[in-house]
Amino acid sequence: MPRLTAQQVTELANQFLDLAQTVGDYRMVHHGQLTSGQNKKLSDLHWDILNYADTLYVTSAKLVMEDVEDTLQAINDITQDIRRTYKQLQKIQKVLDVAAAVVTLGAAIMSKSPVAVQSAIAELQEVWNAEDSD
Amino acid sequence: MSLKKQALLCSVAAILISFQSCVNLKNVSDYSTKSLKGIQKFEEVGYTFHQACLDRCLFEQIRKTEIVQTECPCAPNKAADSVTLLLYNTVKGYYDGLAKLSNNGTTEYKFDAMKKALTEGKFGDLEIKKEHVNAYSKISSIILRAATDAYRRKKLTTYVEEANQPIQVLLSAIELNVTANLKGMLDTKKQRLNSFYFDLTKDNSLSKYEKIKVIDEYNNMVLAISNKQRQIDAFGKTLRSISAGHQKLYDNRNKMTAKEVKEMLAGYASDIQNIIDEFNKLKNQEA
Repeated sequence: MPRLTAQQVTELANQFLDLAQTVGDYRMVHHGQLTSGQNKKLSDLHWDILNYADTLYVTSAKLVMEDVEDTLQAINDITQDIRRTYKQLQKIQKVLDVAAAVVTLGAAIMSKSPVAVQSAIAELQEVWNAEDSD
Repeated sequence: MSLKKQALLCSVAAILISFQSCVNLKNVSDYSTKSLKGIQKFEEVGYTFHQACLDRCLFEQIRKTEIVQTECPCAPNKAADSVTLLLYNTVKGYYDGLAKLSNNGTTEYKFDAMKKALTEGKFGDLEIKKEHVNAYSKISSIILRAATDAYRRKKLTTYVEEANQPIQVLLSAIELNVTANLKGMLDTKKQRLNSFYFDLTKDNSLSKYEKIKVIDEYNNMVLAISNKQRQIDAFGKTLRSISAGHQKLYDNRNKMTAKEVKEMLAGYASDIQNIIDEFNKLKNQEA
């Protein structure tokens, strides 16, 4: 027999909830005509049905996992791809910054100033090692 | 005007035209950003399966007027919460990525460092004028933007196509767990309160004043639960709007520059914002 889906278990839980409501309403409407023993039995029955409804809601919530396990993986894979694409686009800015630092180094070398060359190399290293932002 | 200059002007014009059409990605960005905000309202629902279990367990003790030493058996409820959280984080991750990738700021590249290097650097006899550097930087920015935006649009089309079916499944699953299962447990809580407080009002050992206090207490508790349920309903509406928006995106994925798509997505983004505002209003009422 095929197992119930999460949606079907929720529908079952809703039916138990409606049944509980019926029992609870009956007890309250006929409270004056019931003995204290009958009242307590109906009250206990009402709470038991509510507990079954709760159990079914929780079961459905867990069953959802079985219905969507493959789907979760598919979305996770796509999300990883999106992040990779985004990081690729961000790297372009780094390439531009590195190129700028290389131009600065070029100008420093042409100026034949050791101080300027040292400073330009340090700047290039800094840009190269800069972390890619998220 | 020479042929060379004419060809250059035509190429720049073509690039500018394609750049203009790129701004429609903004509506995809607006929809994704609003959807992300909408999804994140899950964190503000403020009720869990575990809490529902604890409420029931402690209430049973009050009803039976007995203190139970053992811990409430809520392991299945914690598992239900883990499932819902996993679904939420997966969907949130996807929309976060989509929002970032479709954001126009992603391809706004800065040429400032390059401009500075070219204008301030001394390159022997070569003179580089500032106005030339500015002009070439602007053209480079436009060309680079056009190329990367075309790349982005192509990638977004692929992602939306691949993700549509699974994302619809996950959004439905979250809706089932929150707006049906969790909300259902709030209904069972309401019925327990109703039954318990009804018995209190029938208790002859209570004075009339005490019965009035009991009714007042009961009404306040039921109002709080109803407010929580309305928040959950608002969250459910958000999920449905997000779902419909993504479907529309999918149906029109190869027409991301169409005016109709722009207007539709703007509509969904606006719907989602309205529902977020409704949720926030309900949340403020409970504070």
